[in-house]
Amino acid sequence: MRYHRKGAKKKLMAAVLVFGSIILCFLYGMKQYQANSPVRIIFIPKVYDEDNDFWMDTIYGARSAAKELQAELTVFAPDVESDYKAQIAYIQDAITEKPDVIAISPILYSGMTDEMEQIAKAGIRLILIDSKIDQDIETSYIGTDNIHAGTALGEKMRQFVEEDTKIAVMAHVKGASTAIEREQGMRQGLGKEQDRIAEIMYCDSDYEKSYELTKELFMKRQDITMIAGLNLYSIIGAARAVDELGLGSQVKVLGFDNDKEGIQYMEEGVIDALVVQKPFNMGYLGIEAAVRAARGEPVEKVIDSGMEVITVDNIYSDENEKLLFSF
Amino acid sequence: MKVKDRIKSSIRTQIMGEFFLLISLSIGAFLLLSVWYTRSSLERNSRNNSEELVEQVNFNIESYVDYMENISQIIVGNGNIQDYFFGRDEAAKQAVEQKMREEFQTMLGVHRDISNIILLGDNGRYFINSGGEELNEYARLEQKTWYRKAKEAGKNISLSTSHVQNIVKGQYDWVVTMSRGLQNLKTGQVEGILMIDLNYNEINDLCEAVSLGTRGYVYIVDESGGIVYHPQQQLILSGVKKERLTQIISQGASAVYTDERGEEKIYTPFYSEKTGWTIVGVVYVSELVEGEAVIWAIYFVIAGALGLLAIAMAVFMSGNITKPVKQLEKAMDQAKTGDFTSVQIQVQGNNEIYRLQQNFSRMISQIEDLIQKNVHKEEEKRKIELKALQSQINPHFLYNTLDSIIWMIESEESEKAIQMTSALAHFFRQAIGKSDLYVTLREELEYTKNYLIIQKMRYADKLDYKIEVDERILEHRIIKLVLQPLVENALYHGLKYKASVGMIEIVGYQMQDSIVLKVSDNGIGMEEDFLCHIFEQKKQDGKKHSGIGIGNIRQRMQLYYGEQCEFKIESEKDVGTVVTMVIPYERSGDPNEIPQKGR
Repeated sequence: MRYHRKGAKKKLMAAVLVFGSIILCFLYGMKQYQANSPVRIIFIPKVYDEDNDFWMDTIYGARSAAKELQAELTVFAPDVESDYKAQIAYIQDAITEKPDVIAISPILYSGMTDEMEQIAKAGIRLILIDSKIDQDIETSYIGTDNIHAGTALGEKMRQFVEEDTKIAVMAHVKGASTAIEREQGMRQGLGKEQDRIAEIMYCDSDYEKSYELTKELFMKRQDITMIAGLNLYSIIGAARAVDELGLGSQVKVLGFDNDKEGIQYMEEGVIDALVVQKPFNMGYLGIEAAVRAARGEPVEKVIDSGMEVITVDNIYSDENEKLLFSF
Repeated sequence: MKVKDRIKSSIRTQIMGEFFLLISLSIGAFLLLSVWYTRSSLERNSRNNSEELVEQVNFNIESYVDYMENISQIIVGNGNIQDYFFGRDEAAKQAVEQKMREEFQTMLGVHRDISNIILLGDNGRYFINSGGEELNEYARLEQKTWYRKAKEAGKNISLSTSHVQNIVKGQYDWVVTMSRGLQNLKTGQVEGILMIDLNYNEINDLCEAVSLGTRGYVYIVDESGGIVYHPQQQLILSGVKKERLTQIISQGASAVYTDERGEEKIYTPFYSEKTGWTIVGVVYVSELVEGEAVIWAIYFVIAGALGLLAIAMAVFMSGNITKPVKQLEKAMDQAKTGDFTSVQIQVQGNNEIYRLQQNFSRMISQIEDLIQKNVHKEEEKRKIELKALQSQINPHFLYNTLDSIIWMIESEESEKAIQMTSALAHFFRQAIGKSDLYVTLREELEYTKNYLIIQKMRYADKLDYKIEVDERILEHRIIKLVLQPLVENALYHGLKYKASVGMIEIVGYQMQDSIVLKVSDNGIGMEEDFLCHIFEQKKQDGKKHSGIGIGNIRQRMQLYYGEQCEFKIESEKDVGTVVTMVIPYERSGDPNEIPQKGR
């Protein structure tokens, strides 16, 4: 009898244990659930300007990802793209906020490395979007693969190459990583046709300078029949000059990036091809990577946000239309 | 059976186990059903909610379309247009231009959500908005699907998907275009086109305003599965993400699908006849079930409480059922050992087990009665036997003794005669006096001594005796008539035939839990042959002696003391015989009571 009662007690104990463990499991589940609470991210793009389609699309993309992935996203941004001091101040503000991740599109390549290092020191993950810095301290970089994009441009240029084609290149800033990578890619794309490159100029990201240099070039050399601009300032300046000189049909103009003016020149036949980036995707993928990094999931060191080669024939295709024209 | 096996095979364990299993299964089923039901009702509610919202969006879109139709109706019905586009010459056109400008300006001023109103004549004449805007000569309209479709529709209304309108020079706005053919009333032919552009932001805002949880969204596809609106269309078009586009058109009712991230989403489509668009509401299942965690918690607490209650009940109920069975089992265990008197059964209730117990206790008490009766009978029998033994005292002994007394009196040895007569008197008083089965060792020794005194007087030159018994055991009670018959035996079988003086020695002492009594003589001893048959019922030996046989003594000892006693005869020819008895030393208790076997 005594033993039997002991058996019953054991049973009771077992049952209590079973229910206890269920409750523990449940509590653990709740804790896990709370652990999945929103990731806090601060995104510091180069500029917040309603008229700047590229950066507005990047921000929209970032917000879209934040909404979908339930992240808490705050955007700090300078009013002007060149205001690197404001951006540095925002980085310092962001560090005091102690978010899980800071995503930045640095204005300067080597002028804000100290601040970036502070981010890492504060135990905050760093994600770079669109542009890199001179130190390799970021968790992940999301942007256009400039070599790849340059190659696409080079391949397009090769299609237009004729027997006596001579090429001029309008780069933006001498020594800038994007300029170097894009030129390198372009040469790869051109293959053996790269020997046709006759002139390389630098416009210092200035429409006026690009325009003037192009005009001078065509005054000087009649044999140039193709010009490639390596960023928006270069291509638009060049296109303006070509249009003004009435050389739209003789000279092939190709380049990077787009705006309304660029589209107009393309419709008119002045610009023949544009390699455009995907800012919405860049913003989206950047925040997605940030969330993954914060949750401790593996993140690729470099994520290519992709690009598209646009010609007059495919401007209004479903995809390109949405890429070229912001809502 | 081991204790463990006993627990395993006890009825109570079985009942509890089965009960517990039953309860667990019921609770499990309850949990699953509740959660399933809650989940499905949450999902149903959400679907209903999605359907309502999607219908609302559609309603708003359709009202925009209605509104554009109305505007187009007004424009088409405007007489000036005929003159402007199909007038005979430039003069006729010029004449109405100013008027049209004013009219259109007013119209656009009222309808802010209209981006453009564009009229294109096949003859190259055009009128855009309030007439001030220029046509983009590089627009390449013919390359655009929506424009070709609109042209094919002739004078009928055609609605485009969302697109960038580049007809107006320097403008690249996102719009949805409603077009219809412009009829030349004179020829009856369609000779131009009217396009009304609805600002895409209107649709954008409409869709963005819809709240389907914090993550849910609305999207719109046209008849061919092209995106009219999607919050992430760039991602979808560049292949970063996938969406149900053409599949959704044939979907019909709302359904759950899993996306590439492994997330479950409920898609609720609504097809609009008027626009040909399908408006889709998407809700994340994970959001629906966010509240489910709380529901789970509540259900688990309820299930836990029920489970504990059930276990308590299982313990209590199984105890109730099996308690009498256990009592019965215990009682039977006791009865098995032969201890009937202490078998006690407390019975409760009035079920099968109760009746079983009743029968069992009836049986037990009957057995006990029988045993009691039996014991009583045995006792009576023993008493009668003892009486028979007492009356068996050798008549020759009495006769010889009396003869000796007579002889003593005749030879005037009156002192001796008195002594002998006194001893005889004592001897007989003790022999026939009490009918008790037990006497103290002192009494037994006294009796034996009287016998020895008488015998020694008769055989003065032949017998001597010695009694050495520990004082401390004199008050111990032993069965009656054991020592004297042994002494008698020693005298008649051992010493009678001996030529010299024989010696009888009685020794008694305590050894541990036993009392040892020894009767020894230095008589002629016994043949081995004789020893072997000594315990057999005599009579057949034909000898005159009719005292109490050794067999009888041993039998009685075994009867009263059970296995604990010892009875041993050692004998050697011409040396003597030793009879040793070992009986248990009982400190307390009533030795008069019949000792029971197994105690």
